[in-house]
Amino acid sequence: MALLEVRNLATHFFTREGTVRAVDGVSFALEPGKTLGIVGESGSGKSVTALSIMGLIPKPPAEIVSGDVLFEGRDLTKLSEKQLEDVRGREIAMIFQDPMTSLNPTLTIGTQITETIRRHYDVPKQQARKKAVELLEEVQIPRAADRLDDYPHRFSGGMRQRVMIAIALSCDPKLLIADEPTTALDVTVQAAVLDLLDDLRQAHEMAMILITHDMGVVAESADDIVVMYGGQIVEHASVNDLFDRPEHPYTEALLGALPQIEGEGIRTGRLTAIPGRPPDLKNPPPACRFAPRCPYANANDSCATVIPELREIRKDHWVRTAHPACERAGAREPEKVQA
Amino acid sequence: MTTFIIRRLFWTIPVILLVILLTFTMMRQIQGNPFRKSERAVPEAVQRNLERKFNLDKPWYLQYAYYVKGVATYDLGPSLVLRGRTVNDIVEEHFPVSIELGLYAFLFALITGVPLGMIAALRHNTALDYGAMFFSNVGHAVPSFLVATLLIYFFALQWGDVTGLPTSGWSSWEHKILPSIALGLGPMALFARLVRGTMLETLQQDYVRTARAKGLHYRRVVGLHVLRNSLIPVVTAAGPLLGFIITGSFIIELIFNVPGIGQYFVTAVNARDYSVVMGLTVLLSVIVIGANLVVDILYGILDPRTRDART
Amino acid sequence: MRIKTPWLLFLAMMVASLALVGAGCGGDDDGGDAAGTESGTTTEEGGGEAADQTITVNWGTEPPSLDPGLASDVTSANILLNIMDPLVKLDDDLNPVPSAAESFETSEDGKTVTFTLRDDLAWTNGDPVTAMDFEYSWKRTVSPELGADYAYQFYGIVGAQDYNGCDAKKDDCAALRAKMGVKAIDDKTLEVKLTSPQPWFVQQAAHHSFLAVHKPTVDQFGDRWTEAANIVTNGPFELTAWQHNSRIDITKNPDWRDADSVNLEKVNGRMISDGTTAVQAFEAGEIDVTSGLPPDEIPRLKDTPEYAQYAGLGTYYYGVNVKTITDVKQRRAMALAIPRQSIIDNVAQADQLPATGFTPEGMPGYDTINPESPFLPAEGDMEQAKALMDEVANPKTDITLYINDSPGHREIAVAIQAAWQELGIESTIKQQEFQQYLEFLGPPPNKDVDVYRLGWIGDFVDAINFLELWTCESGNNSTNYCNEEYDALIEKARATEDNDARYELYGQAEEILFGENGDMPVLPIYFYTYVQLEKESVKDSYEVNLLDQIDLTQVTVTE
Repeated sequence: MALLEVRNLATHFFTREGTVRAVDGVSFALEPGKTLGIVGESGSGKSVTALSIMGLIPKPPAEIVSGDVLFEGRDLTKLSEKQLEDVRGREIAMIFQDPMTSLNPTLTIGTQITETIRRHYDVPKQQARKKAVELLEEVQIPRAADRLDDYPHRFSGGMRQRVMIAIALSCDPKLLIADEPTTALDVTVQAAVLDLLDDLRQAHEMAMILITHDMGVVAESADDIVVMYGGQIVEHASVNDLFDRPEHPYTEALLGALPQIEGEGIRTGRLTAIPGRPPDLKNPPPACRFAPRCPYANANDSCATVIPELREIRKDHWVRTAHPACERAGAREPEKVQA
Repeated sequence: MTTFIIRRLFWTIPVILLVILLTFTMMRQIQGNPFRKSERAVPEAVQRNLERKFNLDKPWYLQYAYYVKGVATYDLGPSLVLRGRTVNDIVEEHFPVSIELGLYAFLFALITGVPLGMIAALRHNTALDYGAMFFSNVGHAVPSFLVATLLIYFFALQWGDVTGLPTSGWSSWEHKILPSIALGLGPMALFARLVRGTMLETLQQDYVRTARAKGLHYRRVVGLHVLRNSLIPVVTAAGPLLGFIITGSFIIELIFNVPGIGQYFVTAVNARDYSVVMGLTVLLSVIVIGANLVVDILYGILDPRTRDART
Repeated sequence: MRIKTPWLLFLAMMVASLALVGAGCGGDDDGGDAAGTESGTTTEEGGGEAADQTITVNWGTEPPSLDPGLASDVTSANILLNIMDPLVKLDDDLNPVPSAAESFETSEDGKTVTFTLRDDLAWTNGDPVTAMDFEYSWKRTVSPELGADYAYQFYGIVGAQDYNGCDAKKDDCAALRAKMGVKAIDDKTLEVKLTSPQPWFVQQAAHHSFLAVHKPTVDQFGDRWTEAANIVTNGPFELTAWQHNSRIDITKNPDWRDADSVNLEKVNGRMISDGTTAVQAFEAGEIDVTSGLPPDEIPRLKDTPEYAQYAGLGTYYYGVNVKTITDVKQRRAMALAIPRQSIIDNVAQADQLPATGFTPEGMPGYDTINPESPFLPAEGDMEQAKALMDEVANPKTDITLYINDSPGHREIAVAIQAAWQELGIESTIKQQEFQQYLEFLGPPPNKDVDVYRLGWIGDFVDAINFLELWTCESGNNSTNYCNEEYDALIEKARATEDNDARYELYGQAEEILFGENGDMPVLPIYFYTYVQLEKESVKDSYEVNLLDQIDLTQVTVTE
């Protein structure tokens, strides 16, 4: 059985200016121990999807209007708040983008770790603190025991993110959701954190959802990738297949925008920027949401009138477009390196 | 931290001296004769005698010097109008009453205002929020003397048989209820709005989301994570507020016939009782300075970030 | 987001418990206040004495001092006159009758008054009260060190003014003190030598500043001798408790010479200065007597059986600067225009009496003294006023009207401003804070002032008290009015012993001011009244006199 199965999830924000259809029919599954990467621009709905899984969307304006989230067979969307509290931190953990603001400045990191442990396990404080030290060592914080009673402002950004990871791991969750974990960090630190995440994931046998807008990040870590655009999944494939043979015009554009420094089959030439802006999710385009920016959409096709379905174009490769790469006239071959 | 406190205490001295000088000058400027109690003019010989008795015939700088010396030795002088009583007497007898009233009012404001603000923030944009804010706005807008009189009228007079509350005075604990509420309503409104505002802001913070993502009970998230951070601005406001509640309670004291320092303050100014006015002004300054100092210290304790900033 | 159940619960519990406790502990109090009335009215046949003779009086303010030498307000006077024994008291007609003195005698030439004390006078600590006590006390009040306001009351005594004005650096004050004309001939005889015959002197001796103080106590405790723990008194009541600004209680002195005639056992005193609160306390049954009623409540309270009104010895008047409003006809016209009764009915609202002269009604000799001025009709006479105004050659049509900022004065000023407008006079009302106002008025009179408002309350019961205000040198005359004929009359009256003859002279003085050819430097508006609320159980016997004084020995709780 899949560890996590999201089926047709739709989360809308009901605001005075209109209803924002932030997540509009998202489905995917995740096996235990595997990593799923979710990529997309800002506003594509990736974070909202993650928050919806955790039940952390702000309940006044936002609401899960349809769909299920099955975790080990249980539908999380049907659970009460109390039940969800038991799941969070213990079964599913989440780390966030900005480590500067994600930690409470008025509590020591020791408290912030131990409170998580003691919430889910009935252990005395000393024992929790011992575990906290172990966790800090695991995430490679030097002099962990001494630093347990320090406040967050005493740590650098990268260290804080490690602390966040330590907190997330403290109760041995089965699934870790990492929402843009490295976006706010230096490039050099990014790599280290990603490596750490990967090592820990393997050591603890966790599944992971890695959310990012940076294709380079998922290339290393993910097993499968989901590309989101305008609140919908536009492409879903294994990592190799996606990078070798992207089908959706958007994915292609994303990859085209990616600088490649080394490796086989790298592209050279100018980086391509994607013209236009993300769709207004209060009034999304009537049919294909990427149509206004798509280089292949034209006046005569169905892009503006018929919503393209997500279809399995190859084995384990799904795409939602009227113009997949392999169907376009003059199907492209992956570009070769200039010798 | 100790150096910080010592330095602040040291600065109190010039501030107090300045306060004395300003009050001294202002009181002399507004003219008026402390010895004239009614339309009847004071006979010359009597006027001279009295001025001599209270050193008012000396040049102003000498008077100022005497007074400063008095403050330093805690001898605030005799009252010019209430013969036979010294300002020390007045302060020692009546200041504790004002402190008591102020403290009760403050506690009332805290105990009702903070939860009110919390409820409003947690049930943002619902009827509860609007209701709580309406109630607190009324508490803020309606002048305290009106509130006081209404409270007496309803709770002590009309429904007196049920509540058993007296209309005025300060002798037993029943007496202390209505004045404390009347004085505390304004600050309650302030706290409610402040807490609501800061909580709404804090609830949006990322670390609150993190706390929830950890599966912490919502009680703890609000009670510890949110409240800790929300209360910092409240503490900042509470300090000077306490100072002003204690010293600015004159109207409530007047209406409820509470023998506190407020009545003396105002009647002394009207009667031109220089020593009482000066003494009470110095007292007020010390309180306000003290309250601000306490707040700054508390701030350092509550917010660890400032602790390090202030070596 | 869930409701913060724990907090709400806590709050609800707090509120509930407060309400419960408040409801449960109703009624009784622990020697706080209001004990009196609740238990005071045991039902017997109507009119009989109640078992518990305790009353609670709201004095309105804290007495600034209970030292007879320093007290200068009504509250202090009231308490003092009940805990001390004055030489004489005033009867209902305000004539002096023996009290601590069993008799008094004035010499032929009117310059010596001798008081003979009773045998049974005693201080509360057992010491006998002697004439020495009085000599000591009067000299003490006059002494420059004490700085007594009322020292001037003694200026009629030989050497008093000199002693009072003595400068320790230049003069031999001890000698001046010895020379002062009050002497204890023996334990029972007090001889007073006056600078001139003063027929009202004995009456004056009923004033609280003439009370005796207990020297050993004063010596021992200095400024604090009047605190309840220290004070030694000699009157029908004793001071048993005094919490400043909170309460002052006096209890019957069982050892007083005439204790049997005193019915009241205890008088609890409150000091509620806010009128509304006082009325509320009265209506809640916490106090039995209160004054200081808020003017806007008087119309409602008038209809209640507890309302009581007394004539007061005071006059509310407008002084006119005769140097700026120079034409007497204009002043008369201005007087005629004022609608006194209307002001009383609609603004002052305490059934005051419209003034027809300066000396108020109730003053002995009033019928002779009062000039029934043709220019002071109760309703005002606008026609005549206008007619008179037309005769004025150069009228001052632009005047300043000064008042102080206490409640009520502005409304009266506005009414009068409207009346004068009909005469073609534009008055600008200027309001000032009281103390500044008093300084501002001078004397010397301020040039800016055309008309000013003041009141005058009698110290003692003789018209000289009022009429001497308008002499040239009076420290309370801000009108620039100076009439030698008037001054001469006043001087002559001072020397006239015979009451009737003196009242004649007073009448003539008032004629000069307010008669047909009256100078009208002053426009009297009304004579004061005192209004109070008194519980029916004490209403009959609780009577306040013209000077707003209450003799508690005459009060009984009935029912």
